[in-house]
Amino acid sequence: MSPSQRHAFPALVRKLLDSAKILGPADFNASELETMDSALQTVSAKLRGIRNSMQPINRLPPELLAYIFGETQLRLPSFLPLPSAGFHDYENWDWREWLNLLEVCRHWRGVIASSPELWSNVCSLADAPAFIRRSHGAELVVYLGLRDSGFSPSLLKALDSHTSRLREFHMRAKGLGDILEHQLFSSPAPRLNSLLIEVEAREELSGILPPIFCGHMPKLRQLALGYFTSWPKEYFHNLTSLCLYNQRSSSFPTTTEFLDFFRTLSSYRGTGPCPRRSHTTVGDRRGSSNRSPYFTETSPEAGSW
Amino acid sequence: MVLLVTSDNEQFQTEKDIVERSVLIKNMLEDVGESDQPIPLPNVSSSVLKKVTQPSTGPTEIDVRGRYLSTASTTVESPSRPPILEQSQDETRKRTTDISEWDQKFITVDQEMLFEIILAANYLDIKSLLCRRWLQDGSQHDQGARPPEEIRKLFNIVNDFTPEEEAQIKKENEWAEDR
Repeated sequence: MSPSQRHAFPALVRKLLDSAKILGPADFNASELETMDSALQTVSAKLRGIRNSMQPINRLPPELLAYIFGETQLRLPSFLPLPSAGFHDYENWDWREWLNLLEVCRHWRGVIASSPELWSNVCSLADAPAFIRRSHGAELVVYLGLRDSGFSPSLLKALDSHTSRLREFHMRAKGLGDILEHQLFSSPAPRLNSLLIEVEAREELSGILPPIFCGHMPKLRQLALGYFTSWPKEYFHNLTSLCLYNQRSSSFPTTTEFLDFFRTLSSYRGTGPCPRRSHTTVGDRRGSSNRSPYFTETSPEAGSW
Repeated sequence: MVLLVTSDNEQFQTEKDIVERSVLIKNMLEDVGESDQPIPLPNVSSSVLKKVTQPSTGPTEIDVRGRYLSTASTTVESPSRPPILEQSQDETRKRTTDISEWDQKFITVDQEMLFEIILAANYLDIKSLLCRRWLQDGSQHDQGARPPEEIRKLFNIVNDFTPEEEAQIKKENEWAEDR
């Protein structure tokens, strides 16, 4: 704005205020008044926006503001499930409150809209397709049915072309028929680091995890399986954390089978955390040894196997 | 003790465990080893450094399990702990729009200072000072951001959306309102 324009603007506002004093009902029709009102609101919003831009908080670099916004998001540990008692009761957290930030001002809304990583936590409670779209190429952390009861199969459809972006995938399925045969699970997941799959005990699955992600999960380190007692051989290597829970007692692996599996976990560190609804149990729990050349620690909460 | 020199040439003798909250300084100390040489901080003024290094003035970071992680040395019980730390779990879960005294003190005393602290925290790489507490509802340690009106009040921001835009935002967030 030139100095003369700067000088003229306040004068224009004063003139407008003076003109408004003599306005009467017969001067304009309703439509004309609405048009003028809308234009004035736009100008007013512009002035308020400029004023906002002068505030210290809005002079921070956008990437720093985005980082602070990200800190308001409630995040779960990557290794789930957690015990449900006390502050671990993540199912009741109102994690969506960070979205309040979108309503603060235009600048904040713009920063959030242009920060893909802020949208990378996809939850079945939210408008998941919008989150997936806004997250652009960012790695995804997905929670399906974990903090609510069930989820729509359409969410799997929304995700099925983004398997390569999955960093964490946590799913609790309740009564969904062929869920693990969905196309989402038929593509490799090269960036997947943490995986939780829990289904309700269903006889037809027989505790067997079907092939998923083409068996291609080279970065997978944390695995939690609810209900399942067996899985395709050679699937899981280099795990650092393992949680098996809510298993069918009729399909426990034998001690030998489990120890064979255990030996393939070349980086295995521990068994935590404590499962939510039942004890961790695999094979002959008390009789088996859980030592491997790489075993370094175990969680005292994790049961006694 | 570590000797720090600020942008306005003031020198600070500070305990090593406190300055090592800064990843930048910690790395510098590791690089130079044991030395009496002062560490220059050209992007940090003395007034900001005082705030950043005072154990009792930093906000409290809260981890996902609801445990409080003092930004001060872990062995120090901060005398100016936010009131939230004195409340029971049930009390802290109660919803309120009041801004705690501690938050008021830290956030609204000086907006320019807050701006400087955030920039310094970013430069010094002190993640705990960039924590969500500034935007988080002070009464709800396990909840997300404060309501928009409260955030605007804290940071001297006004609503700059037009009524049409506000209606559009409300419509977009309808799924989130249902909670």
